[in-house]
Amino acid sequence: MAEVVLKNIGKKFDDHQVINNLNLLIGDGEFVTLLGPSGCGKTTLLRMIAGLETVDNGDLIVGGKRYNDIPPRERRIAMVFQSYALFPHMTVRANILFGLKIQKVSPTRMQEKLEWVIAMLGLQDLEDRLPKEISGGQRQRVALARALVLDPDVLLLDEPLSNLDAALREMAMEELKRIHRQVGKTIIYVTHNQVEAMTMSERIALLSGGELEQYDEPRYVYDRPETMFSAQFIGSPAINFIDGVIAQKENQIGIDSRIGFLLLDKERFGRAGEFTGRKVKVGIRPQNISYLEHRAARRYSDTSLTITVELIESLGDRSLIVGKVSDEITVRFLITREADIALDQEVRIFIDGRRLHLFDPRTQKNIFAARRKTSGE
Amino acid sequence: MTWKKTKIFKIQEIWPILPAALYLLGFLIIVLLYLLGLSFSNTARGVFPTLETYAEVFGMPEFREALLNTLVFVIIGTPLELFVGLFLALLLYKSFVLRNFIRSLVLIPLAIPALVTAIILFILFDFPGGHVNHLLLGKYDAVPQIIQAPVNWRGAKIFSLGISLLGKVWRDMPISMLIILSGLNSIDPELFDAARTMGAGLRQQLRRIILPLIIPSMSAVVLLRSIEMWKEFIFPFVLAGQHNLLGTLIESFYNNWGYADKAAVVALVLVGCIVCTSLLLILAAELNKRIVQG
Repeated sequence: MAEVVLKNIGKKFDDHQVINNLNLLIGDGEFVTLLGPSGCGKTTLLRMIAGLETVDNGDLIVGGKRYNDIPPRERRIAMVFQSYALFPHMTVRANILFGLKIQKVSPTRMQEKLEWVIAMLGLQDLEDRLPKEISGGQRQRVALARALVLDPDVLLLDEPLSNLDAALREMAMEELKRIHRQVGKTIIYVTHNQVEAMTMSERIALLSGGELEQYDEPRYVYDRPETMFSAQFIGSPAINFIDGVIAQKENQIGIDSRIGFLLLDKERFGRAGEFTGRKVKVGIRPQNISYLEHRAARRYSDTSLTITVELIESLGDRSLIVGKVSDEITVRFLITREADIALDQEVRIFIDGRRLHLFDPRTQKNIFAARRKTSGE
Repeated sequence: MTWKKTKIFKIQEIWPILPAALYLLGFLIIVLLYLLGLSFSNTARGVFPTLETYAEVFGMPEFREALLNTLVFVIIGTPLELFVGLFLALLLYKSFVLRNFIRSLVLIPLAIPALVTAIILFILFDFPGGHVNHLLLGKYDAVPQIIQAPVNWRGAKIFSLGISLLGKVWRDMPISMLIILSGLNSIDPELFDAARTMGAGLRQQLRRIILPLIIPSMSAVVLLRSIEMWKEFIFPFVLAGQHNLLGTLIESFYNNWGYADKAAVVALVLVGCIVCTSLLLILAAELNKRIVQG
């Protein structure tokens, strides 16, 4: 059992700074996802924890022990690779027992471990097959079994579900959560898929360009994005950004923007008055814009707006509407499938004044989201 | 009407393989048939068919010596080529510094014609005045004197065949190396990462991952190299004039003694040896595959 602490971690490849001064505290038994676009350094970070890459600056501390200079074989860490990296010439059994054989564990103990992990992951009757003779989902489970059988303090997972189809992925996600509950290991999971991150993890560390953007529980990352990147990366369809200035009008606080005066909810943005005149980027999630017919009673802080429907994109249960406010500005929002909207139609929409996200255009930081104490300091 | 169509279709099918078929007929089948005919005749007495020549050749001490020498060549040379190739391939696979430079360095032997290599060795190991003799006699300042009198390298059986084998292995090592290197490069590098996280050191990675996964490349090397060893000609021809291999025996039977029929017998024995070795190796590889896969 171990807690993982990253202190001012840095990593350079040639002249390129891949990880920059990163701080992260991952609690014992916690399931944390490193989320970010490709090239954000998340896999490099994982490989550094595993000992496959050196740590250039900072301290990597696992279970109270400085791991920087400890070779991978002495780290109590196991990793599942994106390609699964199963040994193609070994049977499922030999693959699972590889690490134990190297540690020279006794045959009876090995057999116990094998039976335990095979029962947990439902790999019965596959022991004598070669990796190429089993399905993708089964391979993923074998890779997981191979890591779990080593009884590591920390389990590292590098996009383990990205090679599975949608249905299988959903099952695998449930299974991973079940296994996490069952074994209680610290799990660090790397993915670029926000659904996986949102569904499984207890906390998400959102990375971009080698830096930590936000580190929080999934719902807070969604509800209180600390940076514009965070707001843009999390949530689907992508958030709308509109330029504006904080202003007061007829005794009401709002934002003077190019799509009109957007009201701010007084409870949520109580301090907004202090910032009058400040330039902001307003983030509005498509989910927080509603179409007239959806709600009978409107809130006082809702702003109504008229748009022209430019594009309707079916998402299955809902449709995404791209509405034109003016020649240059469009907003995206969602409607239910039943709503009867046609192209070029003029529609009134409502923007929820409680759910606006205001960012400083220069620092790109959220002006109102108080940073929750989460990182290592 | 239909038969005409099928006939035209068949001619069109044959066209593309015709040149290759003619080539095989001309240079392989006809030659082999002629060789068979020759081996079953006695040209001196004009008898055909007869087994006399076979009996005569098998009874000759020259033939027995050549067969033994060739066998030693195959048995020592093939594994030697395999290990040298494996070693170089691993070196090249693991080293990142100057990788391209080292690779081109290792490929140099291929760029030099075998005959030239043999002649260079001939000059180096000359008697009594070759460089190697001079070196060992202490004529160059850098090296102290090791021997008292010059050695007739190319005269002594063990040395002359040894030098030939050395030249052969040196000349052919890039081929073995390239075959094994391509096998190494087809291994997913994440396998090594996975092995490292599971505690495997370099030795264990070599034994448990690399070697099992390059068995196919290694069998290819063994097969190709053993054929090469059986039929080796140039190096012993230049460097071991008094000690024949089967390959050089054919030449000396024919050119020096004028025995076309005996040369044919030796050539056929050589072909037989190569075919048998290849079949054995393919069988072994197949068995190995069956055993590994259960």
